Amino acid sequence: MRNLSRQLKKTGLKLAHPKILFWVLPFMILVLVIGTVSQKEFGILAAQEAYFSSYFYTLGFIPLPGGLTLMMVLGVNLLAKFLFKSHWSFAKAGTIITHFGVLVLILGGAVTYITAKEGYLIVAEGETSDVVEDYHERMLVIRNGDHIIYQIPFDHLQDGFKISPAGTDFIVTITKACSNCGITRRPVSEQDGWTSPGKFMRLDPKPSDPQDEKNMAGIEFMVSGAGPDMDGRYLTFDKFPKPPQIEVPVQNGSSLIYTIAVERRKRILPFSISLKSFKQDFHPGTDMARSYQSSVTVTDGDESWPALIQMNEPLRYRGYTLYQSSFDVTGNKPYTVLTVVENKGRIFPYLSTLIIALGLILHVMIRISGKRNGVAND
Amino acid sequence: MELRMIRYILFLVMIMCTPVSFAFSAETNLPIDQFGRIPILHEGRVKPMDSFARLEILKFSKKETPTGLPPLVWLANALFDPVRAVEDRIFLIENPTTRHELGLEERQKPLYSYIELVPGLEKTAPKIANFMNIPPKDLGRSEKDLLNIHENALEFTYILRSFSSVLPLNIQVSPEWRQKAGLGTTDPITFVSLHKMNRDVETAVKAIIKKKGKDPERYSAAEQDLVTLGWQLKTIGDAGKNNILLRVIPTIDADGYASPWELINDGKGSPLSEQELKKWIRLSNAWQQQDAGEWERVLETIVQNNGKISLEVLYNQIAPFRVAIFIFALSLCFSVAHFVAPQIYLYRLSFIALLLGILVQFVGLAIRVEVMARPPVGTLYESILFVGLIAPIVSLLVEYRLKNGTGIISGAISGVLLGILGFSLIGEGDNMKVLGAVLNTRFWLTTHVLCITIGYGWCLLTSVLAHLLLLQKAFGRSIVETQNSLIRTMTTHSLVSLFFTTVGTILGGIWADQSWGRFWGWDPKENGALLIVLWLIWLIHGKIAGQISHLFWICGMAFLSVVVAIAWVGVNLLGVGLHSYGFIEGVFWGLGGFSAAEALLIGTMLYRIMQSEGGHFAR
Repeated sequence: MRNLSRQLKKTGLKLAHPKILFWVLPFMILVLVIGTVSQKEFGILAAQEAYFSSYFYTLGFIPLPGGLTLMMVLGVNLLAKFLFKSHWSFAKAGTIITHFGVLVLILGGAVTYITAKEGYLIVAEGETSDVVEDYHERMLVIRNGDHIIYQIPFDHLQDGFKISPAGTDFIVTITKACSNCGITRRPVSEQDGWTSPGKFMRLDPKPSDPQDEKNMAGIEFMVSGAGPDMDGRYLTFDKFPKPPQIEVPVQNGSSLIYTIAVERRKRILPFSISLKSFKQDFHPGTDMARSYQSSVTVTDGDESWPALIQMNEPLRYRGYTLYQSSFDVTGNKPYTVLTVVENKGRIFPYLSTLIIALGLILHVMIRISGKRNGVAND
Repeated sequence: MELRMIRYILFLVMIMCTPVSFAFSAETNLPIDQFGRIPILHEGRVKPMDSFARLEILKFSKKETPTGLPPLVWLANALFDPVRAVEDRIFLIENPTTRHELGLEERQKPLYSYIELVPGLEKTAPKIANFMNIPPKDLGRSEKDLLNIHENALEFTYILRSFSSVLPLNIQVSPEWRQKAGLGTTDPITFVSLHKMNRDVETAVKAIIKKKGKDPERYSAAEQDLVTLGWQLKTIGDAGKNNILLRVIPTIDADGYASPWELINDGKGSPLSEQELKKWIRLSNAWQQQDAGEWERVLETIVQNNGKISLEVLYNQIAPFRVAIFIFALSLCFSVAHFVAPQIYLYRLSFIALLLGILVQFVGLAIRVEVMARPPVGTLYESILFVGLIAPIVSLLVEYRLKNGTGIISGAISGVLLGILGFSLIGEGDNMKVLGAVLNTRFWLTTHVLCITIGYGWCLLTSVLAHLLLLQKAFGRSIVETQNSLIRTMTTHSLVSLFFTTVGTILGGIWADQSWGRFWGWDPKENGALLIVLWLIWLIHGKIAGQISHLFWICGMAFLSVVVAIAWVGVNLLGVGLHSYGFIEGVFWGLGGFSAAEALLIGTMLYRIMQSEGGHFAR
């Protein structure tokens, strides 16, 4: 047992070696600079995935540690330092507290990374919604009426991919999938076998937009086994108002209608939001908004209550944060767009700020008082 | 771009004023100060006419006095004597390609009058219509310059025509129509006075055209006069449709002020606004006749006691940040002199000048806080002004500890450099901008932004100290004890810098969490702040753990200025994220030049120190 403890301490001291921090930090600075500059070309999301949320990335042909790897090494190093190498004295109290605060921050980052979900909820004035759509993740969804019978992340789709939804006889074969599609006119020579509007529209892959929200994911696909009237070639894309429908006759003379759509991943909130009114306030004599606000009613089960969501003042309820992110007042009814964030790690930054601030203040004060007493203290 | 407006302007200025307006000089002996205190609603806030005049003339000519006249006199001329004002050379066109496109003659100072521009504006108007369909980022420099001159010219026409609805017109109206408009034979003819019978005139003109066709030669003399009158009224009315620039007439609605044309076009008129408008007509007459008594009497009724307006006028007049640069420069001169030839009076003079510079900078910021009713850190320019106060204040703490002039010289250097940086990034237009909805929060501006900018200031001051230390060592001007105490001071300040940048960065995250539900979004500005924190942690831990030498640590602290510049200004150039202000070519090259110069300077001093001491330094 003593041996194990000694071995553990030995390993802990090795893991706490300051050289680890000394070499991790320049790599963190490097990944931060490269990841930030690359946002200009690839956008925040792509840069985040390639550099900050990755284990490794390559600079030219040189493999380098990504943000996740670096954070894990830093976390382990700091934890080992905290547990095995801290000088538990008043003189070092500020340092210890600060390091503890950073540990809390890293832990919070990990919790957020694992648990946070973000999406948006669109609701028109006088209407109610509890559907949150993901900003980035697209899905291919096949519905029978309102019931989803099949769904798959868009990223999994590729040319030749076949789908045979359970309980159906038809097969959907993907012939083209593009994460950002442009629409062009389909030449007459290529129109055979296509159903409208695919007969006249063609999806062509385009380079991805740095702002992922602007990318229009779409597919061209072939349906077979649905009967001579329905078999054919179709297309659909994100936000397409009339996705293709496959009508399949059933035994009693009626038919089932299957809708094939590309859409953002949807989640259902455990409560609903009704928009009573949306208001924007402008700086006088300009078209520059001073504030936006959505007056809503929150309904959870049998209970309902009014709430106001405005810039810098989101609604927080049951672990969800709903904040005013966009709006549309051009149509008959104003729409409000609320970003919905679910983050179980949101308390950690608050705690760590307090701890780090306390630690740094204490460290500076001890240092200054040490100097006054003639004690050299780094 | 309203091409018609450009075409009509010549006609408009021809008919807009009575002959008396041609009689007086552009120079004036009228007291103009009070005119500058008139409130005007411009770019989302009520400001003094003095600010408006300066902003407009700066926009056109990048100078406040291109004609030699004070901005207010230029503006009064443009408002009340447009016929003469169109000949003022106020449009600066620096790009030779744009001058060539507009068919302008080359001259030593490329300033041109509106009259000179008009033919070129007409010629290039079709191009402008095409530019409107192209995203601004895809326009070339010459195209942007041409677009800019068209926009400026249009804005100038708005100023010229501000009172074209109420100023006397030099047009003929038959006795019959005078009577219909309720005008006596000697009453001045204005657009407003004829506006009420505008519809009758239109109907009569249509009847004439229907009866006799469009050929004027078939009309009788009276009919010709009537058709001309109809055309003139329509032209003036069309030209005033979008004229909302000069919002000086108080109204009862929420916006508070309206332009004279808005009163007619948007139905914002009321008995109150009519009264106010009459005052402006009197003011115009007083200006045209150079009647000082009447001028002052009318101004007394228009200008109300408003503390903010008076403060802003004072701010414009004293230009505190220019004065502060001058005083900081003076402090720097005395400091350098003190280091070259130590004298107590030089030390005291440098100290007093530094204190005075800080005071002036503080007064300037305090005025801005009062005028804008928010913390003075809402824009990049404002943050530079604020850091320009923080860094010299921190230098006082350094001086309090060292008492050898190091703090003073570092404060003076920071004051001068940040002042110059502020002027280079002041940008065009009002620098007391209203803020968008996201930034419109006093709490977070006061906590996060103040904290992070204090951190920037502290970092910069620490960097200046590191430079001084390197300089001292490289040129052997100080003893080891002095260096050691400076190193200890720097260590403390690097920790304080770390404190403010870390807490400021985390507070930014908390603001993001409060507002957007997420703590960290890898926004370039967030990453920039983190870059400073990581840089400081690396250097501080490297020094404590003995991974880096003192010399490397000092060089790293000196290079902190570049890290701060990249984090503070550089990341905005990426044009990505929530803090993007767009790419500015001048800033890009300025930042690149500064970084290269710093690297060269620090590298040179490092080389010299290593040559002289073999790398063993202050151990």
